[in-house]
Amino acid sequence: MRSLLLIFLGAIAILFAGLGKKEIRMLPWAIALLLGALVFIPMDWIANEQPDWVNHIVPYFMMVFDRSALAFMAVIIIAAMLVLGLFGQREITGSDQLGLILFSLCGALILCSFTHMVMLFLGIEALSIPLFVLAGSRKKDLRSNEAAIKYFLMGAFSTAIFLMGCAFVYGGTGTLDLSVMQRVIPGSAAMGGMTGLAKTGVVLLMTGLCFKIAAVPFHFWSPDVYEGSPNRTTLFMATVVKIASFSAFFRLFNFAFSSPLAHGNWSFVLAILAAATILVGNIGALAQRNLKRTMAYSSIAHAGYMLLAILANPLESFWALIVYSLAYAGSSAVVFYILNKVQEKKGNTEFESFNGFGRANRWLGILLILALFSMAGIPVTAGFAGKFLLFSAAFTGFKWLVIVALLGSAISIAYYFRVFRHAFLTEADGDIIKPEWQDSVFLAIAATVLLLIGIWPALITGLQLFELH
Amino acid sequence: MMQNLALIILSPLAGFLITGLIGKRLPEKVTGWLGSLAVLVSFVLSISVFNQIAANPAGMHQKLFTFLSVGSLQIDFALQADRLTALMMLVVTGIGFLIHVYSIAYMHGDAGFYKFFAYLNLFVFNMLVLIMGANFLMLFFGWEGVGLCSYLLIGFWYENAEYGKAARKAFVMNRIGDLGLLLGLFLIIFEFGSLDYHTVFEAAARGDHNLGVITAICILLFVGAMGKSAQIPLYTWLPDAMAGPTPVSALIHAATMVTAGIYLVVRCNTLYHFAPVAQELILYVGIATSILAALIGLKQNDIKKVLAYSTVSQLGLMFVALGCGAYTAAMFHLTTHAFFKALLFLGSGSVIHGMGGEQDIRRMGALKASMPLTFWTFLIGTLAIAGFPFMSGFFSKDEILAEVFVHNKVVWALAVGSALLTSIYMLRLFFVTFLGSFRGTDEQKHHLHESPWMMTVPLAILAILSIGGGLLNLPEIVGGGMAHTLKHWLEPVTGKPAGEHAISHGTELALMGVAVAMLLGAWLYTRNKYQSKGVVPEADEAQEGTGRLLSHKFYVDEVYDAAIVQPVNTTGEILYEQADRKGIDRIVNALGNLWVWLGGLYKKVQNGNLEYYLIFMVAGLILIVGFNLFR
Repeated sequence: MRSLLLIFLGAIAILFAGLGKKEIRMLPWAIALLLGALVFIPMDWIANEQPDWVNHIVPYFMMVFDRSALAFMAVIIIAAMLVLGLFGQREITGSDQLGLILFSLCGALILCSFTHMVMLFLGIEALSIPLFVLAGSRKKDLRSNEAAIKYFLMGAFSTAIFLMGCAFVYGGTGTLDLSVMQRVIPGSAAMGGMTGLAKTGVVLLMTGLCFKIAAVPFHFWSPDVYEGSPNRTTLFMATVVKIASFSAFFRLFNFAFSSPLAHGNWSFVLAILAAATILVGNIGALAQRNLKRTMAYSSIAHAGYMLLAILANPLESFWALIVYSLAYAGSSAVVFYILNKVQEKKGNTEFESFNGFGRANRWLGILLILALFSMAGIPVTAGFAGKFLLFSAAFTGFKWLVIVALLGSAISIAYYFRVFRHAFLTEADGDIIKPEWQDSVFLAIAATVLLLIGIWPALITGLQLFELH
Repeated sequence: MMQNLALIILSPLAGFLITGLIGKRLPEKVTGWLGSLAVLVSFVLSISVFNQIAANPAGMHQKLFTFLSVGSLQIDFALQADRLTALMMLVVTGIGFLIHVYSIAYMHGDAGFYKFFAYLNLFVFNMLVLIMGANFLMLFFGWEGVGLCSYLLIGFWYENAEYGKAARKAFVMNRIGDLGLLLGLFLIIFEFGSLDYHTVFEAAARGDHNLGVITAICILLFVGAMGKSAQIPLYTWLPDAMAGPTPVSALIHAATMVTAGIYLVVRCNTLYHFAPVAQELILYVGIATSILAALIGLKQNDIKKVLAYSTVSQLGLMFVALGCGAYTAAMFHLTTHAFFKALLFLGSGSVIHGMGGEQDIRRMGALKASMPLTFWTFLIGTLAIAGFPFMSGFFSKDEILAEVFVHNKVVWALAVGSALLTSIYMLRLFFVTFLGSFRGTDEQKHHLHESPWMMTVPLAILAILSIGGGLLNLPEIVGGGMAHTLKHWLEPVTGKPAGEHAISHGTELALMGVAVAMLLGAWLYTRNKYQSKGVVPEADEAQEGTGRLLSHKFYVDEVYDAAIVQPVNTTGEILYEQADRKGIDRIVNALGNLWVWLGGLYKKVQNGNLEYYLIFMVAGLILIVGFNLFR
């Protein structure tokens, strides 16, 4: 709660501080704000007397900051810090943009902690509305405008579906409170099956969330919007927004709809969507000639892998999802930073623009390899630990899906290596890129996350989510 | 002494970091010797571990830290050394050190000298992790790591686009195998709830697990082994991998990395014991690979390609032994093969070095005079692989053949055929390269020289090992009381196979007789053809008129040629052209292209048009809701 309040109040302060000024350097304040919010998390973690959301606890403003919420919040705040740290220096000058990003972040934090559908809806909207503006924040760039319009129209569409889902679930269960919902939905068909209303409602909610995480077939917006939006917004969407949506997904489906009957009902459909998402994401990425668009498709594929965590036994897959999210956020930040720098020099992000990059920039080159390896899931990077945990958690229930996921990650090697080939194995002199010292600090943080968790994932997975009694 | 285990893997890692980070600024010699020293330290420590394990068959175990813990699954970052590991450690670090020293001279003057040693050290590190890991995940780390180093080293001269392609092919094919391995690991977690060797094998040995699942695990692990150890259908990367510098071919693609598949199966022998179906599969894949590769080897004119196909063939033979449950025989052949194949590759490297980069044996010949040490050591290697009596290959190959003889007579006959082919192509290679007349350019002849001592000393050491390696595991009729040393050594790991029958001494002698007779025949045939007559292999199938030959040789040559050699040669050629290049290679490539094509197709759906997107989404929504309601 303290983290959320701090960021919310800070965002308002930053917004007003920029009143009437064209340009203002508020970035250090924003990062300090995030750091402060991050510091609260271990404090809350230790102080957390209430073990978890599985046990019934009295929500506070329809939110509960249990340990699962805190873990996701930490990941999201770190991801947001990477976005601001790596792109803030020159790109985010106005306090209006900074404010929007922070407000969106508040929405993301609400998505970690809601206990009521109203709060979930509020979180989704608080997360999305600033993004419509941010996607179009390059006012004179036609593609940026296109991205904003597309995102807005399709976002409105998905919101409508989501709201309809809420209504159906309310009709079917008579409540919008998650813990009540969990009690009302029967555990098995013998105890009285689910009504058609409730079933449909659950699937509609799933659809709404699938839109946010860009799962097939609700992913069409993402390549166009990702490509058209400014790089910083794309990174924000790919990491913070996606991870927050997954946190909501996890909370809703593994808590409210976790009874065996309900799980049996939605899991099969979701498994098919996950398989389709993995395949479309990877195959789509293979056909691209442009790194930014490749990353858009690769992020679709990553969403597909992460869906495995929703399907698996939540006790096993929770930390898998956290590790995967961290790995994904760290590697995406590095790739987008490099992509942004190359775009500044060459004007585009075609693969050819990366020729010779690795040889002109030794440390950035090593960092790029690290990030690509992590995305491809090669040991000993965090991406491998995440994939390994996810796949082994899902293997018990969904063997065929794990095979699809492995196949998908084998395909992904091809396009990650394409980047590697252009950056290292071509005869060309790439431009030398000198990161500013602030950038270097955040790049080092990302690299540490990728390596440390890769070598020692037990650092995170060893944490106790629930106090053992 | 417990920290020894960690030090053994850390030394090459330190070598990698030092040579990789500051090697560029150091003189060549310093970088090279630093890299070699890192491996030497591991070797010396390995010997000390080996001695401790000789006294203590249970082996050593060292946990460094907990890698993962989720729910009930806990995976440690832990090392172990038992008798199987100890043997592999000596092979990897010992031969590794020799090849490092060799490389100092071989890579002299290369722009990427320091990078080469960094990669080589990194490879040794990963290989040691692979064999010393105490659980399947550690094995997988090493497995991926060596694959990566192999990729980097095959494509070491990446300015040549072909080489880069070969490197990618190796990587992709290995990834296909890795998929099998990874699935196998998930299945092991699913069935046993652990990846720890000790836990898994102990649980499996109780024999109360689902045999279907164990069979599936074994087959999946073997798929991984197929990729790494170049078995049908995942073998075509290995001949292409010869694009890498020759020391790499010797170390990675002959002596160590490609034997990881053998190691994996031996390590999991407890599992394979319960999966006879998987063992049969290994047997047939092994023998098919062995024959196919040997036939193709007959018609290759690139000195390294011959050796590459030979490696594939010999690995097939080792899998044949594994298919029979003869783990000792497989490990024995693995060890001797590491000696003589490393020797042959290094010898070929010496030849290529002396010939100024020439690899085509048709432009060599008569190198005996100018490269005496290379000549003699190459001869020893050739005789060892061909199974000359009392040399290392003679004993190890005969042990495999004897085991197969007991197990399955048809496969035995095929294995003998493969052994015969091995003798023929190796002797052909030897005669054409070193004897006859010189066929290179004048300039090459002028520059022809013996290689420096840093290359010839490793050759000499490996030659001694190739001669004496048989002492490791003598058969009873020769060794008497000293017999079966390796078998007794490995017993704590492999156990005493229940189904193993000893064959009578008479049969064993007869089998050896067959082997020797075959070698003699092959010697006479190849000597006559390539030395006495000085036949130079043709690039294309253009067999010369045999009329003249037959009058000299009482029709024997003719009959031999027409009945056996011609068909065999043609088959070899056809197999190379059709099966290897057009068949298997194409299928594997087509599999890759399929995905790219699908990607192109998908691009048409993603056309930027909002109305289409919405229609697709609504259609998807209706399908999902409908499906869910009426299921």
